[in-house]
Amino acid sequence: MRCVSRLHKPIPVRPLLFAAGAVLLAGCGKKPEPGAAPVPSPPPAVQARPSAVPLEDIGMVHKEVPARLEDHAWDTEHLNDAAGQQLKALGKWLVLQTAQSDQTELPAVFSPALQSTPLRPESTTVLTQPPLTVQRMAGASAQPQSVDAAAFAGQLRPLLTAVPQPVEITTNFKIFRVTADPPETTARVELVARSASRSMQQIAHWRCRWEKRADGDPLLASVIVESFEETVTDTARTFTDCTGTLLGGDKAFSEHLAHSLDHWVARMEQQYVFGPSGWEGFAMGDANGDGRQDLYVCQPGGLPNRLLVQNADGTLSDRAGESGVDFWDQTQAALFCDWDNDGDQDLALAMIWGVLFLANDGSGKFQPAASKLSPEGMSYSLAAADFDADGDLDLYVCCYGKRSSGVEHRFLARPLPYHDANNGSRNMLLRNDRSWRWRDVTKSVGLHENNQRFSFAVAWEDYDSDGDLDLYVANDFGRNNLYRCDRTADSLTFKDVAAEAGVEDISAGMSASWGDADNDGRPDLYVSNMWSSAGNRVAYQRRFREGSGGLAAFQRHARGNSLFQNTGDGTFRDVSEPSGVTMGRWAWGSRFADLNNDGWDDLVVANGYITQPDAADL
Amino acid sequence: MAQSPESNTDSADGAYAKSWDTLGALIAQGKSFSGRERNCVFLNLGGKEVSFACASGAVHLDHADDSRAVIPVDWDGDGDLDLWYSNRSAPRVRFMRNDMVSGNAWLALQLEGRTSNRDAIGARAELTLTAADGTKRTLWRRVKAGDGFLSQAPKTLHFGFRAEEKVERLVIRWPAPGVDEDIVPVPDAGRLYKLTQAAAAHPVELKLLALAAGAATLPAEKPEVRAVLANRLPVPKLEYLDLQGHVKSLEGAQPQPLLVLFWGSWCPVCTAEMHEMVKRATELSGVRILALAVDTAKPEPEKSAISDVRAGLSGRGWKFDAGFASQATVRALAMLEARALYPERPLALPSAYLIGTDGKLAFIYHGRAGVEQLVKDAALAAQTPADPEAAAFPFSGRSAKKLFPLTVAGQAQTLRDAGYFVDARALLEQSLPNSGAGGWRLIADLEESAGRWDAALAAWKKALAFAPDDSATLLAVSAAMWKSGEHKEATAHMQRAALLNKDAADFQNQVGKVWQALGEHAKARDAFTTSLAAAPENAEVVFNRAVACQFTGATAEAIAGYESVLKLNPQLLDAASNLAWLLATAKDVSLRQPDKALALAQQLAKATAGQNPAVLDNLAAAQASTGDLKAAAQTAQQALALARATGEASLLPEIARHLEAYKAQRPWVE
Repeated sequence: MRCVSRLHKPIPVRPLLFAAGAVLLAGCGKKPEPGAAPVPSPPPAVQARPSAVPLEDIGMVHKEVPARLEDHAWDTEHLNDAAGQQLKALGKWLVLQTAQSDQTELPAVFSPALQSTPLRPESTTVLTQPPLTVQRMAGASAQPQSVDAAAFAGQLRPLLTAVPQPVEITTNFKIFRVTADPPETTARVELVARSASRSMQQIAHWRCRWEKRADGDPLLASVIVESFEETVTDTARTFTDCTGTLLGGDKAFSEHLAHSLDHWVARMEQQYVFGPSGWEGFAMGDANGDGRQDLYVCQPGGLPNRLLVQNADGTLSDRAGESGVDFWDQTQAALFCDWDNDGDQDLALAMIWGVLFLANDGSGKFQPAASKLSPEGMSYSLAAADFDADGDLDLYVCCYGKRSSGVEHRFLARPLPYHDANNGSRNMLLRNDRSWRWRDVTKSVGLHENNQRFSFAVAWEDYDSDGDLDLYVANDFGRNNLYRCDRTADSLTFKDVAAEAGVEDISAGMSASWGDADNDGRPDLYVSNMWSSAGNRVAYQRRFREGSGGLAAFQRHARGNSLFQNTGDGTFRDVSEPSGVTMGRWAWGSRFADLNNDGWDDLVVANGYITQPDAADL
Repeated sequence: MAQSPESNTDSADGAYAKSWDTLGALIAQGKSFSGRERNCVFLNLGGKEVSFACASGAVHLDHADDSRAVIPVDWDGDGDLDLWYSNRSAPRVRFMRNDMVSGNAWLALQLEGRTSNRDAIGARAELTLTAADGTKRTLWRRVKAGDGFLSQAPKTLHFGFRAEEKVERLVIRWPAPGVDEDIVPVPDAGRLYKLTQAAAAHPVELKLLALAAGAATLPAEKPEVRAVLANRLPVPKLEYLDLQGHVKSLEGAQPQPLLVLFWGSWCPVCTAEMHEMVKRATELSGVRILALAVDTAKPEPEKSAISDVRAGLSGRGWKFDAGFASQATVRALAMLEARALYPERPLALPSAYLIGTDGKLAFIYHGRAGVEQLVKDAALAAQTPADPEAAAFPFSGRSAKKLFPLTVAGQAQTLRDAGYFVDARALLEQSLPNSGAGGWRLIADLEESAGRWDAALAAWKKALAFAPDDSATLLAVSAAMWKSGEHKEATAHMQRAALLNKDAADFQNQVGKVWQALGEHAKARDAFTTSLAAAPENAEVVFNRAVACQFTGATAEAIAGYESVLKLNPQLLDAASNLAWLLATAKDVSLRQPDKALALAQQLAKATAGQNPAVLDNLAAAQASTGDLKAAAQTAQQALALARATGEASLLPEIARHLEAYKAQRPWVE
């Protein structure tokens, strides 16, 4: 049923950027028109929307905006589109062929001269731990052999051997390298299959050569499988969704949290709801001292934050109102900590204007106890530690974007330059001076160095095992900070040693987590970034930014997540690619966590930026 | 998308900032951006070489939720880590129970400090294990408060290990320096212990929770929208046509709340809504309803539409007011909606706008609103709520700091940006003198755009009284003074602005722009020169200076300037364009470089897809300079046609003059 019909008519486009800040333009050609220069205008209009939307297709020129001197079309992007369609057709065929017993017609994507290595190459088992088995390709790629289309297709079905009767199959081809001459693409081929009793995830890299045709899509001429990995579980039960069980009975969930952010963005003033990005996190702690973990869920402005208190049966009930923490202020992050060392869990909330501290009376009732305005930007991730070892907890506050003034929440800063932005806002270290007095000591301890970035995340750890806690800050649009703490009997300073330690990680840093990837006792570091297939394709071409010196930086920007292995001499080895952990997509929060209790830290990654009904992705 | 500049200033055309705006607009219009991505899990394969396998799909942790943060916790007390996710999509939190672990052992610790901070944040627990074959390994965990992204995992430390491994030693390194504690006796596997600094460990009774599997039931997302505005927006004068085709208008305070309902005669949902209104007309006595058909609001209304609408209304027994929306009617309300709400979508039908008795927009509806809801909302629209936010927000709550009411200046800006100058001005005047510097600046700007220089100067001075130390306002005042002939005062203000502005390079650039706007090109050039002395690599300033040189007849310098701009930023079309023009038409023959001019002009034409008349005019001049006057004449013709088509009338006489020269077999010379 069509509930709401749509009328296509001109509607004024919202004015986005006031002329201020825009620069004198003499118009194209000729003598510049007198008066063309804007007189210094009123202050820039507030932005109608958050500007902190990271660009994915860095370096690419939008097809509809031919605005560069050089030829703007990347031929390779055409090849990518066409080749991507062909591979997709193949994937679709596999899904259909498996779902239906009758033969579906093979798509006409093959060159008569087709060559291929085995799609399921010889593999060795690299992990056996019930219910998990992991197999990987053994050795280098084979020499491709001539095969006909039918024989090639015949190799596709056996890819699903591990899951004999799948009820669910998804295929996904993402081309991340492309060259025009020779016409070649490398795609990440992902296959997930699940049945009532087994599940499987397969990841392969296919290097494909294409035969160009004047009048049609390119044909697949050769496939070399460069890597292959298959993870199988021989049980249907691995992780089970119990969200409904835990939350279904609570109105805060069914009426509020069960809706996507988009639902509220469409219905509430943008004055309060801070756009569709969903930068609202959560914190776990025991709010009421009953020994059970509770969950504080941050919400956009105009919607109350929720305190989901755990009941004896594990279910949760919202108690934000009666606990005094149902704030409408746009809140990004929360921390449960015993700030006053009185044995209960107090709170710190990272709000749009700064940090609010709340004291717990011991029974789960909170009272505002202190607040601290963030210097310039909105406060984001929070992390507490007793950095000065005086027995109370201090707080580091990440800040992002820039407020125009006071408590206004519009961004004015655009990251510049994109790959190494240093026009963000200052983060702060708040020292706990007891009795709810907090002092911004950022500068006096040396944390003001390199502190003008778009900081999303922070994590404390003693990476150099000298007994004091150091600080890692992940910044969007550029390099991250590793502040080494140098503590002596009578002095304490931090120094940014990210470059010499090898953890600058120039990229779109969104999350920081310390763990021990190799179980050598030394803290290793995992940082979320963006894995961008478009960025990868473009940034890896020679033509891209030739001679401009930015190439490597742009390549790094699209590489994805980073894993830094602590060598023990104060530096880190970048093992991201060999260890296979870069492809976290557009990653946000990520963490070390030993999911299978084998004593080895696994990694969990939360990702995806904005999914809306319009599937066409930017 | 435009490329990012390499330095920390945007390109002179603001392309980079614009590309952010474009991106934001596309998202507001409903496009996905890295959407439908699936969460990932990497399994540590163990061993010397760090290696992980991607297992997301195999372990059912591959939701496409636009997830943001993740918290591992043993929620059900069975000794393995379950996962909570926070999401952008629905549900905004998701819980995944771990059913994957079989056979391995575990041990969990809760620490409490004494001399250390009570939460023991920073404490490191080291657990030494011995395998059956005697090999040992030590696992460690640190108590943390906040890591990952916008999240805090519980402070409980969780260790997993192989069942055959025995716990041999547990050391806690408390955050107080030098306080390490060996826990004796060592705890048993399979339990959660509470360890207080310098006190005995004791196990905590763990309750095993049998949680039923069950994903959340998500409410169906309905297309109907009802938005309640806490910041009610003044509605500009609304014009529409009544059923007889006469222009009517609405403005200011209303005797009753007014519902403006946009509908179409072809829209079944509109019919249903209006039918219900007719049926329950008595309940709606507290609200004036004005149904405006949008049939005629199309760029080319069909004649039949008007009679359709009349027939439709009488057929429905419509008892309320009615008329036809013009594009301006739709635009006025859409403009207010665009200020209030984030999404930018085509107008939905039916859409309704409930305006309070104060003449301000209070509610927005898309799809059916329903009579019951309208009656309730009309009652609210008839008054000003004591706490507008509490009245507007969907759930109860509280504010820590005063939230962000839309200022009068902000409201006026909305009106002005949409072209409602008179309404913007009226609104600002109403609220003066409370609107502060921002309000006066807006008024000054409004006056300038209307060419009323004296009024503008007066307004700038008022703005300055509110913000005496704002160098941008000082500059604006000095510009306005200069324009009014008060040169001495203008200079004094400019000097004061210079004292207040610490960034000399930026300031001199601003000053140069002021002079340029005033037509004082020699002065502009001096200011840009000073700016460049402080910061030589700024492409924008180099460009501005080259423009000033061009104006003052320093053609050679202008050429050199544009060339260096293009080295700094090859994508500055305007620099390339001006350069091509000078290389083709310079009076001084020795400065002319016809071939280079032609190459540049051709590149420009390509970059603008041949759709820019000024660029084509440039190309014609370049062609003429190479002696190809026939091609020049053709191109100039095209430029003329294009300028007419795009409405760039100001270009027409100029291009026509150039064309005449080419036809007379003469290249154009400046």
